[in-house]
This record gives sequence, structure tokens and C-alpha cells, in this order.
Amino acid sequence: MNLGDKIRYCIIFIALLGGLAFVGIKQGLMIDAKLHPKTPQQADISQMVDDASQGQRIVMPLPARPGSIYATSRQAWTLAAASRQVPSCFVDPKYLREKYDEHDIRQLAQNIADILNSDPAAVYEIMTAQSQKRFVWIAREIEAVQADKIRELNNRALGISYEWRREYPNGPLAGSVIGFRCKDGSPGVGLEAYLDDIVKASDGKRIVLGDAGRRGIYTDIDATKLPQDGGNVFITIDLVIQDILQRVVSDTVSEYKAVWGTGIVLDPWTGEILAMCATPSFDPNTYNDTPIANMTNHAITSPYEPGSVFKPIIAAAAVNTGVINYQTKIFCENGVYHASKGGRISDHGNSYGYITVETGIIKSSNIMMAKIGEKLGNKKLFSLLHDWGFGQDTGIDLPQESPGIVRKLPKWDGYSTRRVPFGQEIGATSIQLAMAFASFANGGELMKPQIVGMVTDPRGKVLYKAKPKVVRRVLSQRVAKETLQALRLVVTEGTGKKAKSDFYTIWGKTGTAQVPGPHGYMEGAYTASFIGGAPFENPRVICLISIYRPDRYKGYYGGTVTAPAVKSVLEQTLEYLNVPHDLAPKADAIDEQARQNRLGDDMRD
Amino acid sequence: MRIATVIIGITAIAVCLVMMRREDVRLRHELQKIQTQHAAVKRDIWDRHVEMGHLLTPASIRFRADAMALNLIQISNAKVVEDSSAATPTSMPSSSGHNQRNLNEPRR
Repeated sequence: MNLGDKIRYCIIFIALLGGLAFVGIKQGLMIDAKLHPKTPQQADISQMVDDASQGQRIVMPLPARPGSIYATSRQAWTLAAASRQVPSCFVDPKYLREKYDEHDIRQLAQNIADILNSDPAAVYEIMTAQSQKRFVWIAREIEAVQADKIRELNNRALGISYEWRREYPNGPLAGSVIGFRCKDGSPGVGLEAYLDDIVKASDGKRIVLGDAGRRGIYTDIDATKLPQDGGNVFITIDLVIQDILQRVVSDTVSEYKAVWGTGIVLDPWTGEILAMCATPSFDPNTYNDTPIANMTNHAITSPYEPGSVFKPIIAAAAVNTGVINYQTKIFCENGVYHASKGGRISDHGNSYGYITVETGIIKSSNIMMAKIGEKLGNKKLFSLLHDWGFGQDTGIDLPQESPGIVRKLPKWDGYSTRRVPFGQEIGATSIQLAMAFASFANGGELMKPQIVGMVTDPRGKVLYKAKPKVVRRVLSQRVAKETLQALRLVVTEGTGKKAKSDFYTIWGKTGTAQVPGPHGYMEGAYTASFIGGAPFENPRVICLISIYRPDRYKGYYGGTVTAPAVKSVLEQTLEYLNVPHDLAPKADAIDEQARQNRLGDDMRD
Repeated sequence: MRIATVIIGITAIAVCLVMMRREDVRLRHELQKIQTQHAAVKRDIWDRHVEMGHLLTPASIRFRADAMALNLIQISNAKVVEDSSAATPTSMPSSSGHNQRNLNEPRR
């Protein structure tokens, strides 16, 4: 055996001996631990060792940002909701008291007060009042520059902590649609609640071994969890159109002292919601100060009896089934109709004999609609309502949508036959009505309303892109066009003259519905509505405005209260969308414009 | 002689291990500092992102346009009646942003 072999055997022998010794000692310790449990003092020491080991470990959060919500504005995406971290300053009063004398603390309070532009005495009071505590806020949500200056003080008793703040740069604009997120990050209402699974973020963390002063020196890479930012949502709302609609609805509600008002502007070809509002609304930035009632998005959650705006829907559906056509003449009983098992129906004091269905729509005849109801019968009428989406959710991506109110068929009677066709005994939401009118504009297809246009992951990869979705065809193209013609005549000759524009061929229908109460219809309570669109040849947008319970002494007819409001919204919206005027301007309009220009020049002179 | 070689070898390995350990600690410390800076930079980006959002709101644009006396905003009040094709607003502050969305694209 040479020297090399001897060394090799020696090393192997030592290794084996060492291994045996290790196993033996470990087993011995285990047996010893069982036979002689630790005394409380020993357990305390062991605990302290564990604590010390844990004390070296610092869990440092890696913040993940909740996703942002974007809306359109002037053909570009604009931020509608986003989060950022804001610094807040805290103090460890116990540490401060232990390490610094009175003079130093006063000097520190003075320095902090200078940075925060606050009263030194107040800062001193905060820093010293609870001297046994380890954490007291000095100031929350301070500026980043102030936070940097506090860090520069290099005082171990002071610290900067970051808190999330959700901001809504547009304030109350689209507040009831976008909703809000609570301070703790939980979703509140609106899109924020509906899209929480997409928008919410998952914070990361890293474990750092620190020195005695708890300064991180060593990252435990294996224990690091990376942050996952939330996805971004791009909605179809156009903030400029939203601004137009919201101001008009708000002004109308104020002018007529109404309980609430709601408005929708949408693209009839795609079902994209371009604007949606409910007044009173709220500013999501200050949701804490807002009554809960103001957070209701009435456009989707509040069904109401639509009244006469419902007439074109039933008339078009009846024409589409072939029971009648727009030139069918129907006898309107010269103003008052006593239907068999159907009660008394009147035409608001107007007296019509034989009129065509088209004229009945233009004049908004209740009796004619009652007779169309008789021709259809309850079963067919009920089936048509279902086809048009009444009594069902539209499937819009917003929470708490109401399906409206359509009673079950067995509960329908002779009153229902005559009243449903002119918008009584039924509850519809604004979004249902707007989508029904969109089908007149797009050639007869009932579209699904879209409010979420696109979803991307935090890096911008598109996860979802909305496409126009046709629910079903409800009208033939011919009937849709004929209905549109009737609705154009409503504005030029009928009840909607106040929606007539000098620039665009607006069409639409007025509605003035009584508000049902616990004991029949309430005295003097009405819902005034107008739904219209423009231009006539190639409708670009539909606008609905409903005003709930306007002051009856100021006005309550749809043609008075809401028709001018819809006209204003449509004109402004089409101008904004660069849709050319399709009506030749009248000479007097030019004169008036020129006169006003001269007046302006004179005043400036 | 051989044992001296073994001892030197083992020593070299030990020195290497110490060096590696030292480098590991240094890099982890570096990583930790970078992660801290990364968080700060992200905060700064988020701040600027939100600030930009505030600047691009319709109300903010209207305010600035009013302040600069640019007659761009009240489109509906600026109806140009001589020619319907000239009725479009004279100029719109087109956002320089990406993701441009053409509202005039032909519909279905």
C-alpha cells in the first residue's frame, strides 16, 4: 500500500466516522429532548433565538398597480381612472424618546414643519403625545418632494410609507358609469366593481435580511414574489360626448326641477355606448361625501313606463309581422275609445277619425295603438316584447342591470292588450329603449350594447376586443326604413317639433308617461322622454334623454322637456364627430348668425 | 508533496467559495438597491401618467383653450353656415397619443 492509498483510506475512514458521529449526536439530542423537556427558561431562550433570526428578515412589499380605465377623447385614449402611490410620513415616538433629547426633538419638529408647511408646535405634539407607541402618522398624502426632504433629514425615527390613491381625472364625468374604488382598494360600484377581476393587482414581496438597524443588505431571491399589475380596460365612452350629454341632462333636470334624469348616446351600427349619464351624479374622487342615491346609474337600473316612445316599437313590430302596414287606415273613434273589457282610452283631447298607422305615430295616437294591440293579441304581443329584449337584461358590461318589468302572459288581460302598445303596464330601462331605437337606424338588427371596447394586460397585449354583436334581427330593412320615415315626420310635423334642427335631419319620438304609484297613477307625476337620432339617411348616433318627474308647472311633455335637449346633444355630437350637415341652412339662420357676429363686433368695439 | 498539493487545492477551493459568497452577497445587495430604485421609478411613472391624464381631460383642455382665447371648444356654437362641408370645427387639438381611434371610419 503506497502513501496515496493510505491517505485515501484515511480520508474515507474519517468521513465515515464523522457521519456516524453526526447521526449519533442528532439521535442522542432527540432522545434527550424527549426525556428532558426544555424548561420554560430554555424555551424562552430558544424563542428569542428564533425571534432574532426572524428579526433579521424584513418583508418589503413590491407594489403592483391596479389597472387603469381609459375612455376616448378627441380620437385618442384618455385616462378615466388610474392609481398612484402617494407618500405619507410617520414617526416612531418610542424610538425618538429613547434616542434623542428634548432639544433635538424640538429641532426635528421645526425641520419637519418647515418641509410640510405646518405648525411646529402641532408637529411636536404629534411626535411626543403618544411616547409609548411605535407608529404615529405625522402627515398623510404628502408631496413626493416633501417625502424626499424628510428622507434627507436622515433620522431613524422618521419613515415614509406609501399608500395607494385611485384618481379619476375627469371628476364627475361618467362617474355613475365608471364608479369608484374604495381607499382600501376594494371595488365600489360601476365598472370598477364589474371589472374588478381584470383591474385588480397582486402585490409582490421580497424577503431581505437586514442589519441591526433593519437596513436591508441581502435579498433572498428564492422567496421573492414579483408584483402583478392589473389589466387595463378601454371603454367606448367618448368623454367629449359624455361632457355634452351630462351638461344637457343636468341643465334639463335643474330647469324642470326633476327627481332624476338619464341620457344615453350610442352608435346604432355597433351598439357602442358613446355616453351614458344619470343626474344627479357624483364625483368618484369624493365618493365618501356622496349620498348613495346619487351613485345609481338610472340608465340601466331604473325601469319606468316608457309611454309613447314605445309606440314606434310595437307599430314597427306589427308591420313587420304583416298584420298591418304603415298606410293601413285605422279608425280612431274621434278621440275616445271605450274598449270591450279594455277601459276608456283617449287621445289627449285630440279627435281623429280614420288615420294611417304612420299618421298615428306622428300624432302619437293612443287609440290607434290600442287597436294595433287588438289585432296582434296578447300572445303575439308578449312574444314581440321578448324578441325586442324587454323583460331581459341587455347584457351590457355594467353591474346591477335591471331586466325591466314585463308581467307573465297569464296575468295579461284586455287592459294589457290595449295599453302595452302605448307604453303602459310595462317597465323598460333606458338602455333597452335606446337599443330598440338603434334597430330602426341600422336596418332592423337588435344589437347588444357594448361599453368595454378592449382589455389589455399590463404590457399592452390585447386580451379582448369587442366586436359588434347582433342579438337578432327584429325588423326587415324595408320596415326599419319606413319606421325611420315616420319618426322623421314626428319631428317635422308631429309632437317632436322642438327637436327639429336647421342642420341635421333629426328623427325621433316623444314620450310622456304617467308614473305609477301604489294606488294607480300618481297625480301630476310624469316621465318625459325623447329618443332620436340623426342624420336620417345614414344615422350615426342615437340619443335618449328621460327626465323623471319634472315639475308639472314648468313642463312635463316629452316634446317640451326632452326634445330640445336631445336636439342639442345630437347637434353638438354630430359636429364633434365631423358629420357634415345634411340640411341646407336657412337664409334667416345665416342672417341671424351674421347679425350676432356684427353684434359681437360692435360690443368689442 | 502530494499532501501539500491537496492542501493547496482545498485552500484554493475554499478561497473560491469565499469569493463567490462575497460576490453573491454583493450582487444581492445590488439587486436589492435596484429593486428599491425600480419601485421609485415606477412610482414616478405612475405619477406622471396620472398627471397627464389630468391634463387631457375635456374640462382641462377647455380651460386651457379658453385661457389662450382659442375658439376651438364650443363646436356647436361655432356653426359655420355658409357651406355644410365647412361646418367641421376649424381645428381640433389632436392628441399626440398613440392608440389613435378613428371615429370617422366607415361603419358596417
